[in-house]
Amino acid sequence: MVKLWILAGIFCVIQISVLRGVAIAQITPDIVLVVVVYTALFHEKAGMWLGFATGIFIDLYSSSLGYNALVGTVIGYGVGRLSGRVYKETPLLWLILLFVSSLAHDVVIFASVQELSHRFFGRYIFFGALYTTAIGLIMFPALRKLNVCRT
Amino acid sequence: MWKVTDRWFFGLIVLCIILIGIGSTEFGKKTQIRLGSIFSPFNGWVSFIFNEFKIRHENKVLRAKVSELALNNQIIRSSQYENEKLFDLLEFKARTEYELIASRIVSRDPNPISGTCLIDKGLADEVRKDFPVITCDGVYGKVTEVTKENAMVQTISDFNFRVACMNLRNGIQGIVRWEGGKGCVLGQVRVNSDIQIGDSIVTSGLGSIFPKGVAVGKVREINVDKTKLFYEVALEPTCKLGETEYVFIVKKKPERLEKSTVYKTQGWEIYQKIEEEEIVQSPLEKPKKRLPSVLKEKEEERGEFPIEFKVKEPTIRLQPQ
Repeated sequence: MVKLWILAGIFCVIQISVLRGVAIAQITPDIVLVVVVYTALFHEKAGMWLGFATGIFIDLYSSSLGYNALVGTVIGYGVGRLSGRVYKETPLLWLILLFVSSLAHDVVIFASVQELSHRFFGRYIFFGALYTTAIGLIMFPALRKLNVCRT
Repeated sequence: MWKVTDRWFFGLIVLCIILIGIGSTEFGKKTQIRLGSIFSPFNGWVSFIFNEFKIRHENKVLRAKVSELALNNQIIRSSQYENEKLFDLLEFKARTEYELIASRIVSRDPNPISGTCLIDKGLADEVRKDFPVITCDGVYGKVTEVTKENAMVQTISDFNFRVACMNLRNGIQGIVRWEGGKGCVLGQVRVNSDIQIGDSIVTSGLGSIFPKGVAVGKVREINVDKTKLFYEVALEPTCKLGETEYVFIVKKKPERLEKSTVYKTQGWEIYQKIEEEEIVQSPLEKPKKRLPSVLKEKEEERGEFPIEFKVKEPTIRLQPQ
């Protein structure tokens, strides 16, 4: 579990410092959210705490305090609650969970900053969720291999 | 088990809402910035590590760009230089009274002893052998060989080049030649002649190749030669031989050959008048005498009959100075 927290910390720093370097049309993937969803799926309750902690960290560098923590906590809790009722080893499930989580996360965060519009939703939120899902497709098997959720 | 978690979840949600509330206040924003600055060094290190790769790639790209821009810059500079040169030439052509043929130097003889070069004008442009070649700065050389498209120019830096010159200040005459290490030298100037460093040396018009008054150089050094009878005056050529790219060939006009030349020597002025009589031959008439040079033979074959001049006996008049 310590390994997971260290990894989440590193990902947080990467997310706020250098991830803009891999931005496609100003859209960056949310690798912290990938770790939160993964943790919630495979370690249930830890997902909520990780979502809150990483959210607080991201909030320190955001325009509005508390929103990332709130969304991270909700996603971590929701996915954790769901994990006991589904077969976790299905990649399609990972993708759906990641896509929906990313959409929900971005809608709340963007809504906290400015009024949402169709154009804004399509341009940033939808493609941002797709990008995060694509990155998650690479990260999930890697995290499984590292077995970071082992207690 | 989840019941405890549920309680924590709601606790965290309430905490988040409180944070949102605090975050909208001035105090909350300041605290956010202060806390954020604690982790800034970590962010800096991570950025540095990641940027290292980015910077390397950028460096490669920028180096390639710099090379490309340097090359472009060189091309622009070269064009600018050429432009300036051509402007100078145009200006010179406008102010000179000679009929000039502008030409570009195509190649230079790599042999340092032979100061010859090839220009891009030839018979087709009415260039003939012994036509003087000048630049805006002064004498450059003379045409020694001509083909249809090109001409060979013997420059002032050739060891066999000679041109009759005089001091512009007082008319003291001499012959300019090139002498290796010494450079351009004005010889045949009597010892004790009035010649000073900085004097301008121009063509005297003798020898009937160069027109009178074309700049050759400035006196740099004055020495006495081995015989101790003459000065050997080292000159700084006005024409920048190595840098010259464009030259003018002075086209000789019939009226230019008709002139008076004044010699000043030992208290006497000698006036020599050369008069020419123009004989224009009809293309239908056969030339009366065979023209000596191969060039003229070719001109005959093409049906072109050059203008011939019959030179009368020169009249010499002596007069005390």
